[in-house]
Amino acid sequence: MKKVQKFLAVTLAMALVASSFTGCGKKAEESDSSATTKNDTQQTATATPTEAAKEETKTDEPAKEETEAEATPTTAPTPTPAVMGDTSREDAFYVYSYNTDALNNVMNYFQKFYPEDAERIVYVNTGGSNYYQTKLDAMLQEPSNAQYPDLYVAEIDYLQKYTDSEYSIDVSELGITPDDYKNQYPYTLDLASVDGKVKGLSWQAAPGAMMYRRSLAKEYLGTEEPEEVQEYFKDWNTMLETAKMINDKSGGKTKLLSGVDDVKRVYQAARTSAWYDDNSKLMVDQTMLDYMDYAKQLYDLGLTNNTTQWTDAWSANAASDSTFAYMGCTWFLQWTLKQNCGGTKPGEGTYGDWAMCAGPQSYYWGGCWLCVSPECSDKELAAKILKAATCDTEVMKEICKGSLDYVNNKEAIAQLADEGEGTFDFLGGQDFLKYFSPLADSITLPPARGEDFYITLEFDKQVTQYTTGAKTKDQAVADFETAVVDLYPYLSK
Amino acid sequence: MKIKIRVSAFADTRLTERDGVFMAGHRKNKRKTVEYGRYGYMFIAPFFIVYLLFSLWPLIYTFWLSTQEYYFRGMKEVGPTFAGIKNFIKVFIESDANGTPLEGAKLFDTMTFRTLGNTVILWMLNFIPQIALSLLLAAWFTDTRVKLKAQGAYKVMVYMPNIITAASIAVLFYSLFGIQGPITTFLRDMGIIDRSGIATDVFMQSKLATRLIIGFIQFWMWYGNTMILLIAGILGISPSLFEAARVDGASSWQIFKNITLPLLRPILLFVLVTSAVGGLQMYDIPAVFNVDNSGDGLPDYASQTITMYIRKLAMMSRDIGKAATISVVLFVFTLIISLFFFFFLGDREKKQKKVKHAE
Repeated sequence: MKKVQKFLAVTLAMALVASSFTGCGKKAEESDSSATTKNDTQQTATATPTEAAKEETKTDEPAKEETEAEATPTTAPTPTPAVMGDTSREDAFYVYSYNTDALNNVMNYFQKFYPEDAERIVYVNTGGSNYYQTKLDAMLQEPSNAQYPDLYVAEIDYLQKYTDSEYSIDVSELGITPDDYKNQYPYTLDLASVDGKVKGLSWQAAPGAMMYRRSLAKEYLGTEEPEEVQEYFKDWNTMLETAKMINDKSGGKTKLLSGVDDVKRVYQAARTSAWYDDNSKLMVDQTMLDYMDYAKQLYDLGLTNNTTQWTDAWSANAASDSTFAYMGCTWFLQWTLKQNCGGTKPGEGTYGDWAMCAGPQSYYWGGCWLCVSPECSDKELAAKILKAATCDTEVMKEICKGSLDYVNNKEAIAQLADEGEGTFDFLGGQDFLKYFSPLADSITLPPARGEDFYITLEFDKQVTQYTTGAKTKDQAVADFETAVVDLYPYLSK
Repeated sequence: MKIKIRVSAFADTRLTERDGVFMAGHRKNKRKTVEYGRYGYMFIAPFFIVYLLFSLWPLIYTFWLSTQEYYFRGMKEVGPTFAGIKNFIKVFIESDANGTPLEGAKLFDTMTFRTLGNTVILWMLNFIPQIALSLLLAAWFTDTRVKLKAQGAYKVMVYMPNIITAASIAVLFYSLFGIQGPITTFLRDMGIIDRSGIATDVFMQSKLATRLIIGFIQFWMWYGNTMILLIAGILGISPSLFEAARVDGASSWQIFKNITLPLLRPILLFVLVTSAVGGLQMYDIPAVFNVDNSGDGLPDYASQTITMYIRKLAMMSRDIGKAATISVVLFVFTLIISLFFFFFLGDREKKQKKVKHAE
């Protein structure tokens, strides 16, 4: 009997240990899948390179998934805590965000320039863009709470929900004048303006490009120079032909994209109307219908790896030869692609084997704004942060140099480009600043609504139904409309 | 009676010692013995306070909310204003914002009933195999003729899946069956799926596969628990009945059919009702397994349960009135199911006797 008991104790202990590991793996995966327009994969990402580098090539490699799952609990670096800063301070200044982006790209640089003020900042990372709004809304509606957000991050897909409400204040109330933000890209201001009041400022601009693998381009297209590669992707039809060519030449080993939804943002940026008009009537823009057709073609011809954006399988393709290109933008480059390439310096993984060309049409993708809440405890500090991160050329130059984020300051970009700071070894020496700056200049005001984030997710579900052949196009669109109207009582078909 | 005697004995000793205080002491002691009952109320009070605050009041409040038009447009609060049965119309039939049914809309053809249907399907997929296997195992483990060895080890192993967090298991299965998962890749390499040579997300894009996997996870997690309940039930049956049947030459199957099953009825009913109530509130596994960023069960809402839908309406799009209405619908549905089981399957008379006996 004693033996049995011992055995049981050991098995139970092992089960407990095992389950605690599953727990860790789960967390990482959850944060992955929860990221949308901006990925939270950094944790997994930093853990994978060493493991993933061992695994070469091939799309369908189960081992990759396994090593990734294994790698997470054992080799993950100390994870960023959800709340950073001294919460016991009387004058704590709360900043809310859903990932570490604003921490890495804004607060850390603010600390360099204003160390004393930075001590007061408490950075709350709620995690997961899918529930960030739920958490933030509840906090904003409770000004008496000690953890009331003084400053918060809002992404392009739901920025208007906050700017078009009393939960964000006009930056002129903070003493920030148009002269201060004269160097910003106008579209970032237009998007955050309601009735002529600027209610949020962004530290980044996000023009998009097509990021492709140099070695694969050389192998299948015969050239790796951006200008020449661009010829193969100059419009959607040519792109489709090139995709077929790559697929045939590689014998199906290399696909153009990781998933069909990679092209979604490109189409979406060309929208002429938002998801609903001023009478709250739902509409599906022609570009979105075109996107459905294109996605269907890509799927039917088997030209992608059929992964879903922001899943592990999707980003893992950046480290292997299975995917020729990703459609990405400024932050995508440093935040997603670099983290998932399977290396940290040229020669490791696919690091240094990337280059950018314009792709079939120019577009923008995402970006984050900083908004100040109406009951902000210290508007002076809020103004200081906003000025430093979005207006101050010196600080922004540091941000750009340090984290390679494309900052929302034309002067800073021009100066850095002249200094040759844009040459990026990840891109095999291509100058990303010189490349992006004309694209950023040409971004026009995109139509957007506060519900874009969730409405687009409803659309994605139906596009999948259409591409896989489960539904006809009309049926998919009709079901999309029904689903949205069902969620928002003030919208109509 | 006992107490009274003790009190008087106590009083007697006092009487001999100090005459004067006798009366006062006697009265004091008597009051004390009577007042013990008051502490009983204090001990059960926490339950009632917690119940009133966290169960009864939310229940009443939900009923009240279901009659209100109450939602948020962006950050702007609209309502609550009285809306009568407008929310209910919207829940039962596809309607416009004013609660007028759309042309050609069919009754019950709404997301509410779709997700309720999903919930019932997912529950059945898990419950039917679960009860069958649990019954079989319970019968084997309690059979005095079979006398399985190392029963304890078996029971532990069978129960083991239940101690792992449901969400972890869901994530585990997701990575097993995902597009690059080991099972998918293995089947692909064997040429069973994806014969065209193009990798597709076979399991995650199939309604049937997704539902079956969720059903399997639930089944695998809970059959051990059900088995232990059934074993307890079978052990509660008098062994002399089994012995008598065996002496009369009954086969194992006859014993199971004619003795075990009928006498196990109250326990079976209990298992059925608790499982149904729990199943209708199914949330954790489907909410983690195959979902997108809005938390919807993929593909095309096939694994979306009604509680997931309520969460989405209340927390994400923030149509609170409608979410409350759907909660009421779920409440009524659960009530009907439970009552049905009680009145048509349960043997009420026997049950009452049993309860009295136990007391």
